[in-house]
This record gives sequence, C-alpha cells and structure tokens, in this order.
Amino acid sequence: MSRLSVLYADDEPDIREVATFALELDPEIAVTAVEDGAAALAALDAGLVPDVILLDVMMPGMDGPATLTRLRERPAHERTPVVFITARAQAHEQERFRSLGAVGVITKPFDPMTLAGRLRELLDA
Amino acid sequence: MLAAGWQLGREFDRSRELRADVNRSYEARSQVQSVFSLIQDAETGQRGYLVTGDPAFLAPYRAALARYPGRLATLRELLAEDPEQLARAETLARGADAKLVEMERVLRPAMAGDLASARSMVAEGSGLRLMDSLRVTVDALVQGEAEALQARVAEEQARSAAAGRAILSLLVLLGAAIFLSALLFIRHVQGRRGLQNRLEVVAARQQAILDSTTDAIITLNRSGSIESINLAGERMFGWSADQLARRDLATLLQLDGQDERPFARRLLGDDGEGEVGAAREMTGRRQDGSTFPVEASFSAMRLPGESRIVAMVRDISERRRVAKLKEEFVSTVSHELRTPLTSIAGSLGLVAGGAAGELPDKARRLVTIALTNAQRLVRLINDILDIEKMESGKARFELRPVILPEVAARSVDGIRGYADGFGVRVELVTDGSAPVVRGDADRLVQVVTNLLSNAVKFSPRDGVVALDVRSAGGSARLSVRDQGPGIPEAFRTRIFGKFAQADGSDTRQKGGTGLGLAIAREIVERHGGRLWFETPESGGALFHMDLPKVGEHTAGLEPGVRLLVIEDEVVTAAALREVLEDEGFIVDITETLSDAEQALRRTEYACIVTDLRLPDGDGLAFIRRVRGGEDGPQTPVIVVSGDAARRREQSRSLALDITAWIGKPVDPVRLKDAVLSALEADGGKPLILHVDDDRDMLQITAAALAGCGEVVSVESLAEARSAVRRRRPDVAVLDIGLSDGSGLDLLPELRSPGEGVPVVVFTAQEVEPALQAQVDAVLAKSRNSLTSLARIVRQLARDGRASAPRARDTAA
Repeated sequence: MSRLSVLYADDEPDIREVATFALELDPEIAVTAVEDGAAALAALDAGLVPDVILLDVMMPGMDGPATLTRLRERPAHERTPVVFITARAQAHEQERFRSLGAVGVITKPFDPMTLAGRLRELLDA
Repeated sequence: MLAAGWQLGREFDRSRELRADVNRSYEARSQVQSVFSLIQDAETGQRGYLVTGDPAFLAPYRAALARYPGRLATLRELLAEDPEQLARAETLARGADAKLVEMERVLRPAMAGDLASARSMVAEGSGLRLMDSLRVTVDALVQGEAEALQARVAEEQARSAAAGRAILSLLVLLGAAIFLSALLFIRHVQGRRGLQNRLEVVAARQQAILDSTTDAIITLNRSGSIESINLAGERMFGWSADQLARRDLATLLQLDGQDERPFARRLLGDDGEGEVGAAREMTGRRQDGSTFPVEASFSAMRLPGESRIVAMVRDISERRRVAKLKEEFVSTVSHELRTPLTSIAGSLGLVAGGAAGELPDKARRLVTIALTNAQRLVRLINDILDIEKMESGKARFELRPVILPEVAARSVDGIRGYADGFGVRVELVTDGSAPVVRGDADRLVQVVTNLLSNAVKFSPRDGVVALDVRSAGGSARLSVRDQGPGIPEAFRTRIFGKFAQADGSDTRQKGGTGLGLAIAREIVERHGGRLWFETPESGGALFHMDLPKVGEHTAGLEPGVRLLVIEDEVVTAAALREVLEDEGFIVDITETLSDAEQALRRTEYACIVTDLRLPDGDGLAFIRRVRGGEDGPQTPVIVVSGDAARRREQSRSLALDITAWIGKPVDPVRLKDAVLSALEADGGKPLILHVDDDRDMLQITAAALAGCGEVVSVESLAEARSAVRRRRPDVAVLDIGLSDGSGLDLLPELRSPGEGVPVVVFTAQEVEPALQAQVDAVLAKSRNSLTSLARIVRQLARDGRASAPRARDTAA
C-alpha cells in the first residue's frame, strides 16, 4: 500500500468527519477535509499536492462538477484523479459524473469499513 | 273519385240532352200547330173573300201560303230523328198540300167573277173534310210527340235514379277512404312527434354529456377541417365553436410535420380505421397563441355513407406539473434523507466495526441493531426511488445478450453470505442449457437476488433454496424454490403489490421493505417477460421468471466441425449420421424445420444437409428464409432428396446457392465429397481470437463478431497462447490489461512464423503511439461501437486471406 494524500470536500460536517475517519482507518491515507469546492481550490493554492481529490457533488457555492471544471483549467492539477461522492445514486447520474472526467463515483451512504479500499480500487482501475 | 266524377259528368250530359229533347219536342208541337194555324189562316182569308168578294181578304191568305213551306221545313227538321213522327208530318204535309190545292181550285172561279160556283164548290164540303183529316193528323202528331217525350223522360228518370245510386255508393266509398286516410295521417303525425321527442331527448342528453366533460371533443371531416367542438373544447382553446367551424385542426394542435399520407390516415394509421386511437402527447395552441401540453386520441366515426374523425383532447398541463413535482420531491427525498443517513450509518458502521475501539458485548449488540435498521432505511429509500423510476418510465435498461445461468451464478454468489446468516443453503441447478436473453444483467441480478433473499428469509434453518435455469421452447425460465411455509392463500392476490407483506409483523422480523417483488415484477415485465409463482403440493413457494430467449450459449460445446442434418426419416437420418461421423464431423440432427431454426440460432454450423419434404414445410423455402438478406448466415447447404433432379430444375429461379444435390438412397461417397468440397469452397470460417479479462465483454464481442467467423474467446494471456498454438487465428482482437500481462505480449507469437496475423487492439486504455504502429487497428472500447469492430475484423480477415492464405490448424 502506497501512501495516499486525499483532498476531500464535503459541506456536511458530520459526513466529512465520518468519511475522514473511515478513510484514515487505512494508515497510509492522509485526508485533508474542507467544506466546499472553493476551499478545496484554496488548499491547492496553498501548496497541497493530493494524489486524489474526493468531491461531494451537491455543495453550496461551487459544487463538485464546477470544482472539477476549475481543476482541469489548472495545468498543475489537470491530471489529478477526481472521485465524486454523492447521494445521487441513480445510474444515469453516475454515468454523467463519469463523463465529466471523474475516475469514479462513490455513493452515499457508504460502508465506512470498506471506504478506503473502494477509493484505492477506483484509483487502480 | 274518378268513377263518381265521370258518372256525374255523364249525368249532367244526359240531363242537358234531355232538356234539349224536351225543347225540341215542344218546338215540334208548336210547329205542328203553327203549320195547322197557317192553313186555318189561309182558309179564313179564302172564305172571307168568297163571302164578301172583297180582295182584301186575299192578303192574309197569300201571306199564310208564303210562310207555309218554311214552317214545314222546320217541322221536318225537328222530327228528323223520329221516323214515326216524320211519317205523320209527311201525312200532314200531304193533307195540307191537298187543302191548299182545294182552296186554289175554289178560288179560281171566284177570281174569274163567278162567286156563286165558287160558293157551291165550298158547299160540296170537300174542303171541310180535308180540314178534318188535317186536324186528325195534327192531333196524332201532337199526341205522338207528347208520348215520345213522356217515354224519354221516364227512361231518363229511371237511368238517373240508377246513376244516382251508383254515385251515392261511390261517394260512400270515397268518404270511407278519406276517413281512413285521415286516420292514418293522424297516426303518422303522432308517431313522428313521438320519435322527434325521443330524438330531442337523446340529442339533449348527448349534448349535456359532451358539454359536461372536461376533455375537448372535436369532430373533423376526413381532410381535417373542424366540424364541431364541445364546450370544454371552446374553453380549453379559447375559441368559439362558430369561429372554428371549417378551420383546420392545425389551428388547435401542432401536428407532426412531414407526412405525405392523407390527413385521416395520418391520424388513424393506415389500417386503424374505426379503432380507438392510442393517446399521444401533442402540443395545443390557444387563440392567444399560447401553447400547452395535451394528450390527444383520434378515432373514426362511421356514419351512413360517410365518415368523420373524432378527436379527444385532454389538457395535461396539470398532470405534467404534478409529475415534475413528484420527481423533484423524490429527488429531494433521495438526497435529504440519504445525507443524515450517511452520517448515521457511517458512524454506526465504524463503531460496530471496532474502528473506535473494542466495545462491551451489550453495547456492540445495541450498535448492531441501530446499524441494521439504518441500513434497512437506506434500502427502503432505494426501493422507493427504484419503483418510482420504474413507474415513471425513467428507469434505463441497458439491454444486451445475457447468459441466464451467469445471472443466476452472480446472484447466488451475492446472496451466499446472507443465506449463511440464516443457516440456509442455496443450490444452483441447470439442465446444461445456457439460454441467452436480452436484458440488463444488473437488473436481472436484482430480480433474482430479491427472489433468493425472500426464499432464504422464509426458509427453515438448514433448509435448501434451489435455483434452476432451463430453456423451454422460445423462452428461458429461472425458478427459485424454497422449503418455507409457502405463500398464505389470502396473500396470493396482492403479493406483487407495493408494501405488500403477508403479515405486518413480518416487516420487522424479516427486514424487507415490501417493495421488492413489485420492483422485481416491473423489471421482468420491462424485459418482456413474466414473474409469477406456484404453490407446489409438496409445500414451500416456487417463483418463476420467464424471459424471451434469444439464443443459446455454446461455449461449452465440444470443439470440432459441426454439421446440421435436417431429416425426418429416422433410417435415412441414422445413415447420414454414420457417414458423416465417420469423417470426424459432429452431427446434430433435427426432424423439423422449426427445430432446425432453433439449432441454427444456438450454434454455428459449418454445413447444413437437408431433406426437402419435411413435416412443417419445404426445405428450400426454409433455406431461403434462414439466409435472409446479404447479412444472413451463408452456411453452405447440401440437399438430400428423393426428388433431387426435378427440384433442382425448379429451384433455378430462386438463385439459392446450393452446394450439391444428392438423390436418395444416399451414396455415401458422394455425400462425403459434397460435404468436404462445401467446406473447402467456404474456406472454413475465419478464426478470430479474442482476449479480454472481462467475461461480459467477451460475450458481447463474440455475439457481435459471430457474423465474421468463428470466435475463440479467452480470458487470459496463458489461454491465448495455448489457443494460438492449437490453431492459428486469422485475426486477433486483444485487450491490453490482462490479469497475467498485456495482450501485446502476444505480438511476437502472432508475428513469428514469417507471416503476420492481423491484430486489433480493443481496449479501454490509452495506447502509446509507438505501439499503435505495430498493430493493424486500435479501437477504444468507449468510443467505438462493436459494429465498427466487426467491420474492421471482417475486412482484415478477408484481406489476410486474399494476400497470404496461411495454413490452418497448425496444431494438427
């Protein structure tokens, strides 16, 4: 298991905490959790270089897809893989998220005990 | 009437005649008297002269003589029709003439002055006698005339009375007829009035119905002009009926544009005359130009000698609005409920999983209960969303060829952990057939999982749930049987209903949502199939999922060249089998064309050997049908028939490419030669090797490439290597990321013996440009459809053969 730095944006503080906890059950994962897309971009500006960016889809202000679009405009983060995490479980929506350029979609509610493994699977695929 | 009128007319004529007769009779009588009195006048004048000698007396005598011939002529005329009277009149004339001669004779001496001799001549009395006889004749004439008249009147009276009676009876008849007519007329009028009243009532009732509906009802003529519109229609579109009369329907509805068919056909369909048309959604336009969604249906209205179209139009703005609200609500629920549940289930999962440290047993038990129920809530939300999607038609199914036993296997794998929890064993049984259906594999797994979880839930501990898959004619059946208590009688009718559970307490006991079977049935029906159950006498529940079968998977068939023999005579069939199997072919025999058709769908055959006269049809017609268009399978065909020579002549016009015609009894050597040359002519099918570690992908691709040649599908590099060693492919289709290496590792082997096998890389991964140069084509899985893959493979196979025919079966 390689070390994995995760930048995670979610506006729900409880979910953010649970998901961070769940991800960090994997000792090789380090999570930087922020409350929305703008904060995620700010963290990148501040010099964070994550291996993967985990974005909630529905967030006030800049939502997940908008954040992804902005990321792709930055040469430094053009190729950083993005995974969406969303309560919108419908198949065609997931299809749409993937078509936006995400490497994968994790649906809420997620199984906390396997969340880290799931994320690694998506990155390896 | 006519008779009476005619009779009356005749009567009038008669009485006119009678009157004329009476007048004539009186005229005749007066003429008789007049003639007589002229004679008397003449006599008086003559006597006067004789007595007095005064010539003045001769004047009246001369006058009477002058008038006499005229009167006599008149009298003759009047009596012309009565011969008897005419004879009497002649007698009168003769008498009068004699009297006149007598008087002249007497006058002659008197004129000569000899009055005395004249007087003595008078005294002789001859004049008196002549006068007397004249008087008798006059009396007879008058009397005759009177009698004739009397007789005539009497006759006329008698006739008149008869005529009167006849007229009377005619008038009575006429009266009766008039009365009857009047009676009938009154009745008719009354009847008409009653009918009219009833018609008015019916019309009023129908108008009331028309006016009280909320749908617009419009009648149109066959070219689409509006003839009438009800009240609701006037309100809906904001036009009055008068304004709309004879306008085109396009005023109200936006009709689909470019259709050349006549209006009525366009609306009713080419053969839909009289059928109530299916409702279709269209756009309505109000008078003010605003538009709104409508649902319209059109049907033909047949009237004697003509037909009209009735359009029913319903404003569905409200329905649309509600549907949108529901959708928004469902979406909100989906998100808003899942968000807190994510935290709850997540936290509980972490605690229960020991991520926050070891828990005391009691606490762990409680946390597990909380977690289980949080998960159930998640399932419930998912199910509600699922059924909503299904019912609103939003659920998208990706239909692909699916091998049913694999769906079953996946479902069993998925449920095993759950079943273990109940101490229940799940067994998968198949009869060896592998029916292929068109379906969404994930959705079908969802259905089977639901059936299995129900079966497990209701099974006794250590019970067995049996899942079996079979082909039955044109359909595939997957059945799930348990050893539970069976379905309670009272529950059977609503088992597929929403929130249906046999017992309210089951929800808590069994952890279901009550939506599973409703969803499952929806899914199966969307696949064109049927989900149903039986209650076997042996107990338990038995659910069946029937789906239309599209084929049979043949991966499990023994390798070799397969031939299909269609022959219903058992002896001949056995002989053919013996000959062909001796040559090392694998022979399948069917006795009917329908079986043959199924076999052809299931399996690729190198050659078909067919009889012509078969129980369910003619072999040639069958071959023509099977071959279909240019894309149909062009399997070589050998005909074996007792009538081969004649049929061969007949079939020339069919342009069927029959490899050989063999008569019966079959000459084994000819048959063998024919089959071998058929296979040679075909050159065998190109062999296509496909390597991919995704089994689903292998299946789909094999189906897509079936028309290009024989497809060998392998899952790993190692299998691919052995396949190439066994038999050299004509085209290789490679995925790059395999479990035991890259597909490109095969390249050296495919290129080695001096001649290259064309290679297509078919992968989801990016391919380096340097690598692209080494292969014949690169196709990205996401961007290129299977049809373009098939096209490229077919092209490569053909080119490869044309340029460098390579040895096949290198392993042999």
